[in-house]
Amino acid sequence: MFPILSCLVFLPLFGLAFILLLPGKNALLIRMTALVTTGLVLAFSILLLFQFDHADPSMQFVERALWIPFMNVWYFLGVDGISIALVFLTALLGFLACLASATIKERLKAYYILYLLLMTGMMGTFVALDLFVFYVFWEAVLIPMYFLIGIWGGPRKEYAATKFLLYTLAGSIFMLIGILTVYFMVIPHTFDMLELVKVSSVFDARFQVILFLVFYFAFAVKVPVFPFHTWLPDAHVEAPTPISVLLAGVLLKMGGYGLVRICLPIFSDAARILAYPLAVLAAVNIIYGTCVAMAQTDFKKMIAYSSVSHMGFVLLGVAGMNAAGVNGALVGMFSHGIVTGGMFLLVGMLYERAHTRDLNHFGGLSGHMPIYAFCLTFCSLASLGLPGLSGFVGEFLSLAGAFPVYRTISVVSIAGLVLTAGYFLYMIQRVLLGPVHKHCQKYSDIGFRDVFVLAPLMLIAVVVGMCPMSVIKFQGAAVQALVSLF
Amino acid sequence: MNNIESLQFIVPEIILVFFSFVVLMGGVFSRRSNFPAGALAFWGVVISAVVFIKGGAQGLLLFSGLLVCDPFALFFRGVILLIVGTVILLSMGSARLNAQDRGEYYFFLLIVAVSMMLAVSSHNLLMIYLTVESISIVSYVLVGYFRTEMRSSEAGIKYFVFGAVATGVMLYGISLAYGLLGTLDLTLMAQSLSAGPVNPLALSFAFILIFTGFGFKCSLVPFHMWTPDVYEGAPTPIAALLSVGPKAVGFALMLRVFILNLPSVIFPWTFVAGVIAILTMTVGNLTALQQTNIKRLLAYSTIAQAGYIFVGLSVATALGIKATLFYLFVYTVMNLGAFAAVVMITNGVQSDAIEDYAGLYKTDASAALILTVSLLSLAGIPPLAGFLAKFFVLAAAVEERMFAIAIIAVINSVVALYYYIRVIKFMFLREPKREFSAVKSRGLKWTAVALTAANVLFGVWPHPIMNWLTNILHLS
Repeated sequence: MFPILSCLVFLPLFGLAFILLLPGKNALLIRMTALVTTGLVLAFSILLLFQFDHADPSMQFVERALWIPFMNVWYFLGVDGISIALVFLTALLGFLACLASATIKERLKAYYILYLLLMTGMMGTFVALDLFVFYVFWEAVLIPMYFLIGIWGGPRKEYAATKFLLYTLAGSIFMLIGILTVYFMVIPHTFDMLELVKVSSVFDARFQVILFLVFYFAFAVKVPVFPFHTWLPDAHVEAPTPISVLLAGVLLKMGGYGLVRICLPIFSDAARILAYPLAVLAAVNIIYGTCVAMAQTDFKKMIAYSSVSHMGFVLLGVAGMNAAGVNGALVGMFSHGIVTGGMFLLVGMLYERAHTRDLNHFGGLSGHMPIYAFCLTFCSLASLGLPGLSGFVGEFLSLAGAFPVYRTISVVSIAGLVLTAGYFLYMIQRVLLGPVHKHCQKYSDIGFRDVFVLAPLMLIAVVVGMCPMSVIKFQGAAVQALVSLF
Repeated sequence: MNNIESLQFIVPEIILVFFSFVVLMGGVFSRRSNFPAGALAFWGVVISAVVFIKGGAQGLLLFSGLLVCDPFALFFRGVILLIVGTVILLSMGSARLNAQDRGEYYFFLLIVAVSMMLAVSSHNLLMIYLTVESISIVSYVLVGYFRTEMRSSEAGIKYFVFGAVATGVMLYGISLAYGLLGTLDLTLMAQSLSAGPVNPLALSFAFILIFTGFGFKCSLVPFHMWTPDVYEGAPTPIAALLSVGPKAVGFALMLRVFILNLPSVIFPWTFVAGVIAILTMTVGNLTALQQTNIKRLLAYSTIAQAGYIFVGLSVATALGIKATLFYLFVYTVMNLGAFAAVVMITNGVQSDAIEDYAGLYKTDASAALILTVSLLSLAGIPPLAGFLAKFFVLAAAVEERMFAIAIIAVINSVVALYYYIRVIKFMFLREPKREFSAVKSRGLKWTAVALTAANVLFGVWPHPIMNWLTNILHLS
């Protein structure tokens, strides 16, 4: 069988090797190579979507090879309904952010090398089914991300990059001990996630809770769940636009994916015990994220905090631990990747013109930049959960899953929706409406390339919003299999 | 086996001795001309390595039991040949060393190599003492090789004073052990231990004193104080040698004496060694945080790395020993890679201050990249070899339910990443403060590139070493 997943994961490395051989001065060729590579990855991921069997809840496109025999480590890849949307999301955002990287002007060769390295790490995390391989990809993301923020970032880039690196490493390094403990607990020793799900009953509940928390800590930093979110505003704000897109669009999903892929099925008893605290944290994320977002004057920081609240809804759906909730969480992650990716692109486009992100320095842009105004309004509405657009589907399903289980928490979370609408509309008012700010007279509207980057995202937001089954049909069977464990 | 028959098993060492004298005499008699001492010494190591790889006898006691030719000895002898070969290449690439007389320098290097190879083969405490002492004495000279320079001489003296005390203490321990057990042969010692009652307190005392000598070589806390000063003052290739060579010897001797031959009936090995491992990595990492000189930083980093290696030895299971050996090998590769890059950079920058590394990506991109990969590997970032090494050591600890050690080890690796990334930050995130040109040295560059490639390769493909280690553990 054609190893399509390995292609998805390692194609960027071939592109990287090719760029390595190119002369650093040939900017066009470097850009084209990166674009072709990410484009191919996108093409492969679309091919994957078409070949995917919706009805099958088990792993598909499986590739297995023994990697380190004496520790029983397998190079084991596969996708199921839980990961397929995220694989597509990674490929899509990887391609679009690569297009948007045209704004990067210096040290291009290094930029694209690191960018492609990042792609490999992200893609690998979503398709790895061996805990060891998963961890390798998970950690492999950190270093390219450090450089991408640290070299091409904003004024406080060094601080933000170092904080991101140490914070996420500190979160995930304990997972390594967790992985090893699980490995030595089961007989025969294995890192195989699917195998571990089957034999997870050997762990008693108390032990499961400890292991759940060890893994949760790693994922919570990535998601991020309050109170481990403090790296996020710094990293998002300082990162260059394309990297912000990937940070918000893909990296945060790694945390949510980890929860659904590892914590829930392998430690299902612990998940039942810890569901309530998870739901509480989700509500805190939602309310806290919206409140802080509302107080921001920095456009990018506002979007960053909106991610905190959106990921709260994802966590709420996970905590519901039923089909609706988990479906909602997965759709929510997909939609957040699409919409927030778009939002970061829009912020970046504005920043290119204004060289500021201060919301008080804008005003009345709708007249000067009608296309931009349309896109921004569209993405904001999608993000705040307007029915008919993608954000609504995820939030509705998450709430539908959580409400029967946690009445109060769900009601509190719904208040978050209102607040979300509040700060997005307030932002639109400050940026697009009102009298034209004196700085904003000369701004030109966004060009063809920008529209080309935004259009697929907006299109997907409409399709998912109008026809939620387009996403849910991919994941339904796998989610059903997952919740049957509880 | 008698002395004449035994000779055939130490042919690699004999070749090295031969070449060391060729290098020395050549240096003396052709002082004016351009005598290729380094190249000769390097080829000596290569020939020795070829002979070494060809020979395959194992498990033999040589020279009436003074030496042993078991798989462990073979492993460490191989590692030492690798180390010395690399160090010779680094020395040839070092601009400052090349400006000095070179004949005797390479003579000393080869003699250190022979001493180390004999040390790891020793099967008798007296032999261990003699070889360790000869490693030390030659190292004192090498550390103080820049005679005219205060720092180098100071480092030499410091190393000498600390080293003399440590080996003195070890000798005292050996004499006590002899008094208690009536023999210095490791096999006979084990027999006489199991045969009759011995005063446990006195014996523990003797072994702790012996352990001190080994701990000094490995720069374990609390015997680590000499490390940063000596590394800072010594010629950089010699610092590289000290960071891997005597360490390998120290760990080899601990393995041979305390784990293989005299299992921990004497004192609670796992507990004592575990505490020392924790202390070593924590002290090393915390002190490294504040360093501004790259060689001092690497010195503290090697202390911390010794702590990780020692975790494997303290567990002392089959997996623990395997992890230790794997870590030692990988550590050799990554640390030599880091030092190779430092030599490259020092040739151009003429400074060891980390601040002066600012903007190195512009002036010497390959050195910056090599140093980055080596440091990230030391920090244990996948998919580099250093990650696998840490992973196996952690696995050994977790298998024995030693969670405290595992948790402290991973916290330490986060701390460690902070100071490693600081160096990388200066190299890639800052702009250069002043102009300088990279000094090119082909041999040095390719050495560094090879080490870096090995670093990446063994991270994704550890099978060659793993198979080798599996063979060793099966055979013994």
